[in-house]
Amino acid sequence: MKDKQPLLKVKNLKTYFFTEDGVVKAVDGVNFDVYPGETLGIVGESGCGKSVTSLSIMRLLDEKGKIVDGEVIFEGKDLLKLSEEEMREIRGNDIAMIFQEPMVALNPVYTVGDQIMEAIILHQKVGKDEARKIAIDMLKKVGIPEPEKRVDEYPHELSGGMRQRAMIAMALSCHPKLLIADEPTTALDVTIQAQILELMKQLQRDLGMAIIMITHDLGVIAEISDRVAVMYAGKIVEYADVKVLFKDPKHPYTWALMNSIPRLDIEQERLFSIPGIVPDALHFPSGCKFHPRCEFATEKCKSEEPELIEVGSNHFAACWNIEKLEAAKDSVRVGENR
Amino acid sequence: MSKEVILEVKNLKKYFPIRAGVFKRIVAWVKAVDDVSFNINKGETLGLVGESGCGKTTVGMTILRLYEPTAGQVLYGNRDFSKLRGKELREMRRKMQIIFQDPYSSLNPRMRIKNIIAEGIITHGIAKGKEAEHMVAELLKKVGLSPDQMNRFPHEFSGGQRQRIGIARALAVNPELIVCDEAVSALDVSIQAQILNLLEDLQKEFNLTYIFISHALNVVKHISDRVAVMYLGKIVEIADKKELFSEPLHPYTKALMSAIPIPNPELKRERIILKGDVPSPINPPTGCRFHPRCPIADLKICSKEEPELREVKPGHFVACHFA
Repeated sequence: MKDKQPLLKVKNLKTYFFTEDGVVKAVDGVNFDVYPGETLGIVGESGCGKSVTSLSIMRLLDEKGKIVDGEVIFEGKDLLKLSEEEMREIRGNDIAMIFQEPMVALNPVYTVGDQIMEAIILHQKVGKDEARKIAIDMLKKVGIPEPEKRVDEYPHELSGGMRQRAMIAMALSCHPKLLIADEPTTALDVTIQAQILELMKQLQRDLGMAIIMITHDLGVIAEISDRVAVMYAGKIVEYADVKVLFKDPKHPYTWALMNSIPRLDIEQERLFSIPGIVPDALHFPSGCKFHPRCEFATEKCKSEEPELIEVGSNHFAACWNIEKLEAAKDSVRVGENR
Repeated sequence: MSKEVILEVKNLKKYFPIRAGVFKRIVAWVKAVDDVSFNINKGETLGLVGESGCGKTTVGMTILRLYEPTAGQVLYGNRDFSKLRGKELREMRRKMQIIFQDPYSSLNPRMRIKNIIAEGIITHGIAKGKEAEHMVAELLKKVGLSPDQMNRFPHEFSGGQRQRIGIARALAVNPELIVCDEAVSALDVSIQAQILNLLEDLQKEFNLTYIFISHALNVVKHISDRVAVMYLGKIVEIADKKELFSEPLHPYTKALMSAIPIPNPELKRERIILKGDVPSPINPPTGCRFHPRCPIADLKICSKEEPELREVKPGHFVACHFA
């Protein structure tokens, strides 16, 4: 991967929200690359900044949110320096996005076809009839039965899974180079989730776009990603190829998270659990933001924030005590807590 | 574990009417739960798993008589709970408690934690005044919260903490059976593990029986002793956990298991992708309700005859013509 030019390069991105209660540092110095045709998974719990990262790339933040620092280089251009018009050319055309809740993301008063056609007419400069043909073709591609009929239906007439398919059809209608998928299967039943993940993989093979997959579900990450960034409290704490990450996590948070999921494939007597709660973004801890919940934390962790360092080939982790975790992995089981 | 049956559900049905027109006449029925039977032993956890609309929550609510059953019996210690009235009903309600999915909407935002937890204690005449307050303090400690927090309001707590409050409220009246309805589904993974461990500890300490309702097969596998899989208002398979997960027999159970993403990128497995969506429970398919999506359906039988839930191995029941 490294010899290719990245399609998207996010450098030191900082997005803060200026609220009445204070400054929320939702994304605080995030770096990653996305290469053409690959899938980068971004995983983390609620409030870790994974969604704000994606909204910052698309420049879709509400008025309280400001990108205070950093660059988002897409095909050599810094998206943060573009005018609103130039950005509109990119959105939906070169970079498209799908969301968790298709019922909220789709406009209820327009037919599915109208909404797909809107982007096609805008970006591909074609007439209405041609756009309709493309829309029907896209609906067929995403596996919606009877696309000629469905194209004239409203979002409420479709099931949850079908709506998500329609949203994917809309996102991919202009053949974007990058698709950002923000929890696209979280609201769906597992059998439908399996259908949508399969569809995304197949469309990626056919159309060759890169995907940023944002999710809280490590299972989905393992299934679909080539590389993974683990986020905690506005930072990337670990970044690696998917197989390496799952086999040999180096950050205590990643390791603990993996051990706290109930698994179908292995027997567990008792779940490992991370003590405490996910910190509130208004009051992030000092030093390493994970230190209050980390069982390897030392004095240094309380005051100095660790940077991402290379801990293996293409494997980065931000932790002062990587060797402590290594030692603990060998011992049977570490401190069980409520 | 003793094999004493604590609860017996027999041919339980719950239909919801759909009304339309000026006179609000009943035009159709949603058959949310359609002839479901199972037993729960004292001290065990029965997992009830299925996708949205399969009726798993309705089963829980009907067992507790938060919905009145359309037909069938709920026998608790040989007494039909669905027929009880007055004082007897109230006493039975104390024995069976519920923990809800959403820790935000299930706690009254205008009540202090102290009063939320003490409400059941006082209503059921277990204690009052200082003594009730003392019990609340003990309960808070049991669920991993500090008694100093009892004068706070729900909004001052995180999702996981609120779920702990919900658990304390359920425990307050010294129940025997707790229905956990998607009790950890709204929580982050790291918090989910805390709550699951807490539920397991409390079960041991108080010899509780759980009905654990969830769509998350991995969570159900972790916490249950036996598991029932539901599809469109019916139980399609019920078995001991180990048996069910190592040898699922119903094609729906197999598909459901293969659909769960497993956090191991090296694991290669065959995935059964089901076609289409779950049909509407208003007009469920004839014969076996799963037949339109089933990879092994034989339309000659499956679309015509409804398979009975039959015991194919000791303790392992399946409703499929081909199992």
